[in-house]
Amino acid sequence: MNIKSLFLFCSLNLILAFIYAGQVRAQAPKTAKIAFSSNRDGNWEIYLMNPDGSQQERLTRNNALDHSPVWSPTGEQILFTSDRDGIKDLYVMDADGSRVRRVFRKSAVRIEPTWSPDGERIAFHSETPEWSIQTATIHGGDVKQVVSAEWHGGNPSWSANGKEIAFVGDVGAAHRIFIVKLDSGDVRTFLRKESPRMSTPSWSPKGDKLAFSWSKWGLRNKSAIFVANRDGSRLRQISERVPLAYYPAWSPDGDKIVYVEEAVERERQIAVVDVETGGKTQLTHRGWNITPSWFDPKSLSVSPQPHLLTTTWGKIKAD
Amino acid sequence: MVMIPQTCSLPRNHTYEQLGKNQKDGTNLTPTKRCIDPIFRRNFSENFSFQLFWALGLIFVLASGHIVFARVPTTARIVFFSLRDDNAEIYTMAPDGSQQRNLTKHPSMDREPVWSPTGAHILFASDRSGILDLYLMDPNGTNVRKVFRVSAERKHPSWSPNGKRIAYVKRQAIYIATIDGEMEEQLAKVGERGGSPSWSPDGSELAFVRKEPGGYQLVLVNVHTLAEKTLFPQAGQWIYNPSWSPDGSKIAFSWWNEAEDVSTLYTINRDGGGRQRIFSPGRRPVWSPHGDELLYEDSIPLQLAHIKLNLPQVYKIALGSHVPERLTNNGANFDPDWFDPATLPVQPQPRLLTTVWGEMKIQD
Repeated sequence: MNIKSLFLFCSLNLILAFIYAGQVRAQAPKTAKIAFSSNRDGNWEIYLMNPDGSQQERLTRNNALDHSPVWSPTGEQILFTSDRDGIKDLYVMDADGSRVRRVFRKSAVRIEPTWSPDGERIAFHSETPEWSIQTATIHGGDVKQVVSAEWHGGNPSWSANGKEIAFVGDVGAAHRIFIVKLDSGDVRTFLRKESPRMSTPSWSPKGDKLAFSWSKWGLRNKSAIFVANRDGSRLRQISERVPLAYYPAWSPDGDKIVYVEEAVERERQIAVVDVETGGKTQLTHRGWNITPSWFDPKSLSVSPQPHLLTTTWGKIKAD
Repeated sequence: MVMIPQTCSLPRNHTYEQLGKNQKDGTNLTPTKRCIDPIFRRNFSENFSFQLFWALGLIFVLASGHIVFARVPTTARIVFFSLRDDNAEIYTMAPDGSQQRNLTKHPSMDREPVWSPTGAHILFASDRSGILDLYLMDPNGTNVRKVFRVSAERKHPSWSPNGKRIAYVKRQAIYIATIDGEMEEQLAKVGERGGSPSWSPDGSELAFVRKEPGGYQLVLVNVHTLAEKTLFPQAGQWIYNPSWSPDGSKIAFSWWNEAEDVSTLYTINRDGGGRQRIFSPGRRPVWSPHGDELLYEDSIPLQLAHIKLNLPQVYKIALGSHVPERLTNNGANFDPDWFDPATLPVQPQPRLLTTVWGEMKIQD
């Protein structure tokens, strides 16, 4: 092999590598963003805003119902539900709203998506079989049922260490939060001794606490966002009592919770509450606004620089 | 020119509701689509004056369009009845619970409202003539008229999908009749407090509940052959309020667990398989016109001084969701029914078009 052909071979590889990198890596936002769904323009679409409510911008534009956005752990992608192909199913798009693609080739009703902390898998609630919670890879492969259908589970939330999923279950007309261990399939009841009517669980970024919506008896048919440690201790009310408070989601630093409330009759607005002080700010004002999801590049252990580095995200080796 | 077949016949026991639908028994009904009433054929066919007559008629109708037709709602509306001022009245609201409007404003009891398939009428039960019987009104509450000339206790009304006929409960049996109150016939006995008929979207069957020892049974009856099919294998269950999905593949119902005193929403396939639990607690499910949500009732316990009240309210839940939306909170609210003009095959334009739906003539 002479020098000339070696040089040609190397430069060809280099060009290919550049093309590859340019195609694949999506750009994560440079500042913190909350993704949410809103019907303010007459149709359910996905929007982004800053954590103080400023710079609200629309990401999707079509006649379909686009809903339930969730940030990928690195902020490069947004997973959401849409009925653009006829029934509600899961889609992924880049953080700027471009490159929308289906997760599964075979369509089925799939809702309430969430990501695993390593970004490789997703969990969701699927109509077949029998409205169960399932997980799959982000490319729609390796589908697994997480708990059996008798739990009537929904609203999955993946814990930070990737080993557990919290979900709301409907057993004996009592909606409670359950936690399933993914390796063994063991299910335990969260806050077993408390009254039921809980929904929309959300793990804190460190995985030590759960936030959830609770319409307990003492609230007189109103509800509020509550937080408790993973073993059920230190249970406390975070938001004020309103006709409806649900869909809590943590800020990536774990200091705040963004959630949806019906403070004014027949309104759904997104508010943010400080977990320690209880100080509240309303972020949206127009139309209905629900299902918030918070991303902040500051919380990433390494700042993502897709065009310069080729970090391969790996699993932390356990034990 | 329209080709007119010499004989004009349908197989026995079939009505025009089945035309254009998939025939399960394989009968080919396409030739009968060209059937035309023999009277028309005799007097007017292939006649120039016939065409002129209709052209003039059309011009007349267009010129005076505002007289005849009820206004179909242009946006989706849910009709329900409410006990919020000591007297049951019929209301409508938007699908998010906003814009609630009283339609009846009558001192008697008005209840169980159901939309006609095109949204042009609301059928309901009222005791305004002294006995609970069926009435029709326009979507804005005007033009109230009695369906039947001879009063009887009739309740639980349901429309046929073509809007020509209605089903209801009378003397512990399911009856059907035409919407002008004629041709009343009994289809099936339902027993004490049974009934709640729901007409299948293809028009061929009615789902209802029948009293049996220790509960109610979910039954389908064929409107033409009166053949019955029981959908629930177990006896002695408390099944209530079947409701047919818009695509005709599923039936939603509520199932009361006597031991736990809890009612749960279920769906079941038309053939009795694929039973799915949807949500609990909840009663009286009704499908959204798009088939991806259910309206239902649930009671809110209310402590007033020493009295504990259970006030039913109307809720909405997306299939698979655990987060219901409460649509009402004023007084007690019951029996929702959802109409959406967007799901009609043709946009209703009552001032421009005058389609008269006729029944195909059946000859023996």
